[in-house]
Amino acid sequence: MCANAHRPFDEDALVSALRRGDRRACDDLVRHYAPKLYNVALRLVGRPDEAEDVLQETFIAACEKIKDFKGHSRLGTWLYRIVTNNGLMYLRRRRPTVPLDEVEEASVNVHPRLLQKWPDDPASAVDVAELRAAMEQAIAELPETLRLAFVLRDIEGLSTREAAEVLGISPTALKVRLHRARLLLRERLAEYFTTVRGGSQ
Amino acid sequence: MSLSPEEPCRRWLAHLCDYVDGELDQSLCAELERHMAECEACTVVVETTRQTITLYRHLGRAELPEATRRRLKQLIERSVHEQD
Ligand SMILES: [Zn+2]
Repeated sequence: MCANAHRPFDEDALVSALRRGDRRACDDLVRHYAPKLYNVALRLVGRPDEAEDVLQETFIAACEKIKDFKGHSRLGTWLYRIVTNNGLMYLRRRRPTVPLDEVEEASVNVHPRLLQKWPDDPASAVDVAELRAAMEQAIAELPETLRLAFVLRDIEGLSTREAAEVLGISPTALKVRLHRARLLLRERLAEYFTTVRGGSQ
Repeated sequence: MSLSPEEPCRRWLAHLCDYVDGELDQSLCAELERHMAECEACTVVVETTRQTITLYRHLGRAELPEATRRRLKQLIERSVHEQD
């Protein structure tokens, strides 16, 4: 069983095993995907206890629906779509009167203002815990639609096509959201690096 | 130093993502690099955008708490039992 942990990941074999109801396959599914899906859930809903609820709902739904998984997309893409939809439903239940912030998304000015260079290796030039906190706050303040595009594409490393498929939008629309997200985060981190360096000089 | 809200910097800003993702076609890419050689503002925007992505890639992923992982496994084991 210990060798299990180092077995190479074979997606087709995992899907077949899940369809057969193989219990070890569920372990593999959790081990391989839970960290990724938790990250998406937490970035989306914001609180660890709520992210855990979303994660649990996602795995229950995935195990129930694995027979419907057609194999047209990768298993990961399919799972990211379930966790994203569950997270969005969770947010709508929490604040049912607030519409998705697409209006806000389009009206935010993303033109770069702060144009000073950052340290060459930014993470080693400042206090990492403090930097991480600034990063967390910056991403939490992004409109949901932009945040999802950034998390899927740049943190989870999906391709443009895959991330667009997860969100049910065109690759062009995905690129527009990603562009805005990256520029807004860049601006916020620029504020951080400018303040930190300005303060220490 | 400022990033001109007018041409040509505004035009290059629209190609920023394709450029940092290595998806900008060759002739545009060469043209942008010629512009950057003369425009410090665009150079900084490209460089700091890359740094932003790299930072989030390395530090931006939330760790799955051990207790959350354990509860998830227990939940799935229970639901598999019920199906048996
Ligand atoms: Zn320029």
